[in-house]
Amino acid sequence: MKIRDRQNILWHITFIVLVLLFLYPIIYAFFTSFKTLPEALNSTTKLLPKEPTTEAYSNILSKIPIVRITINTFVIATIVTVFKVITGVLASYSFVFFEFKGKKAMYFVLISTIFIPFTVTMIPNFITISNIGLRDQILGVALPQLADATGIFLLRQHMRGIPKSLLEVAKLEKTPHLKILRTIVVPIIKPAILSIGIIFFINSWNEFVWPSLILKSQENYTLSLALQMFVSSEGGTDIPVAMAISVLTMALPLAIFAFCQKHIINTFAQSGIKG
Amino acid sequence: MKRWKKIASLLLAATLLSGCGTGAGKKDEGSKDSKEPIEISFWHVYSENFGAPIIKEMVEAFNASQDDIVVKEVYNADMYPGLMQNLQAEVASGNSPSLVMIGYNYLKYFEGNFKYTSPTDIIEKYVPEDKDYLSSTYLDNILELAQVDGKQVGIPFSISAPILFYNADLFQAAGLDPDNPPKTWEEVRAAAKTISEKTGEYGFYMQEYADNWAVQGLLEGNGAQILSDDGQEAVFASKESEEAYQLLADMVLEDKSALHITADEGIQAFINGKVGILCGTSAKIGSIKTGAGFDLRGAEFPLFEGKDRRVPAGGNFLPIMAETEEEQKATWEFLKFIMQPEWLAKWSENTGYLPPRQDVAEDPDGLKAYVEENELLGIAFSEMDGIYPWVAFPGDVGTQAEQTFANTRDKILDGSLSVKEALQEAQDDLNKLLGE
Repeated sequence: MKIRDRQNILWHITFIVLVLLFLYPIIYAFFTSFKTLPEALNSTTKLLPKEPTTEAYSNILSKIPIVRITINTFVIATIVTVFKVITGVLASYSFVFFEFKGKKAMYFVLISTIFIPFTVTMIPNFITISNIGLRDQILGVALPQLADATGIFLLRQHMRGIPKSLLEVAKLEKTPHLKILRTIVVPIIKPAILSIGIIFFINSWNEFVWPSLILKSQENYTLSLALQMFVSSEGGTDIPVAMAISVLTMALPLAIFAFCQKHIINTFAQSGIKG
Repeated sequence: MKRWKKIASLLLAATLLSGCGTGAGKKDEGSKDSKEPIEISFWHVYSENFGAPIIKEMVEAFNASQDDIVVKEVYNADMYPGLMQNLQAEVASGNSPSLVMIGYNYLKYFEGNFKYTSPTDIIEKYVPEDKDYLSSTYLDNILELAQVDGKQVGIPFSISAPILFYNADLFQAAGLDPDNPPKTWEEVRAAAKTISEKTGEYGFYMQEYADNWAVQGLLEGNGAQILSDDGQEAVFASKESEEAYQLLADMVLEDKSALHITADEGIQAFINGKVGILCGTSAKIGSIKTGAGFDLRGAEFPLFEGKDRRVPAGGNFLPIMAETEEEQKATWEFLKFIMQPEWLAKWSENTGYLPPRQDVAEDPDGLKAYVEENELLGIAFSEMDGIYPWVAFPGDVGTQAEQTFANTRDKILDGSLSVKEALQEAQDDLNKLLGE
């Protein structure tokens, strides 16, 4: 008993140290965003600002349409997430519950697209988007990202965990597939859908290269593009402003994560039918 | 279940609606102008805290000054490589901006891979009255910064030169005379040694970006050559390079008076008063001044005893990519507008770049008063006649070459290879690439 307690304490100390280590950059960014530029450059080791100022935030407000930019980022991330989840659920359902010719080959081809690096598809995608006239528009950013092989792969893994017998009953009653999907399959894999959705959302939220190719006008920017506007390798970085915009960029994904933490952990901890 | 569906459809509707909103808003803006002025785009790399506000001011002033041309400025993140990547995509899709900003080290790459129109062609074809504009406005050695085999690719816009920044308080603490900064590399070495021995702080740091810019100044100052005269072969593994590089290596490895860390860290250390002398770009004058809490002073890039100063130009030039005659003429108008002394002066004051026109410094509307007050920019100015092109490797070897140089510097300064071996290895590697 005693040994176990001591081990527990040791583990806890280790975890607390690790958590602090991971949290520190975020805390540091938060406090630095309230410093003045000279203070940020000079007292790098001190965490708390001497005379807190919201100068960095008002600077951002006056220079770029930050509300509009946040909405753009949200809209893109939402479109991408919703569609990736819908196409992912539909595709994985057919891969798990239908038998058809060439299924294995199709699945193999689909999954191998995961290994095609973005750099390869970047230019062809750009030309397509440009030809349909969606350059410098947020829909142009979202359009090539409506389906995702990683999502199909992960959802398929979860759907395979559903006992076939459960569906046999529904099939005997001639229930249409869409209804089976909606009333039986989706509720069972809901935690997986949520956590994959969150991953898609955060990935899209943080995306940089693709939006930077498509979006040219400031009012169409996403947050990660706006962040880059305050970072310069040649003229030096306005550190408080860069930190302030990082804080704004992090806020929503952090909130989502804090809110849905239980679901995310659940997905990795459970399988099969929940009681 | 139902709720889930509701939420999903709501989100979808919201996203699609706001998507439509974006498109519609744009159309309205366009249809307001009934006269249909020519629209040209200007791609640049300047961020909100460095340069962009002045670029925007220039563009707005130009747009307000006439009714026929509307310029749109487009920011490209991640400096010159970022702009290059966006440009490749843009050109692949059959479009191109009217005016772009290219770093000098991409000069040959740009010249060999993109379609542009030389300013001399534009003058000859459309604006013969400007025939003396180039030669009467710019110095020859400055025009050469944007030439390939004598052909003017674009017009130099920003020029940065490496200078010495030094911490006069640390000089005083080490018993050195702050009014008498080191002039030669030997003196730099001696001063650095004294500072590190007397104060315990580091004596010297030379900026270490992923390029060869500052090192080129060091090597060429000792008479070394980077590329052969025809530009087809790397020839930097010479006795002169070795001597010059050895001096820097000795400061880091033997005297332990110089730092070997990344540029951001090194410049930060200087701002925090941990380094006596910093050799870095004049484009950093503004940010170093903002941060430094000590008596900050500057001196010219050091020399080798009895040899001439040769400093490499950093910064960028502006080539014209507009394709139609109308667009080319409009772009030329805009280019001439921003090259006026008062705009260039504003640009220099805010960025620490040197203007491409020397008359800017003497022009009473220009920088005259500012340079007299601002010692650091004045120092960069006095180096202007010793400015030479930043070596651009031909073809697509360019980007690879800068990386090879950066790796070589790491090998030399962390002591894993001798200067001679490292230079020879880098030269062989690059010549192999050039031969392919």
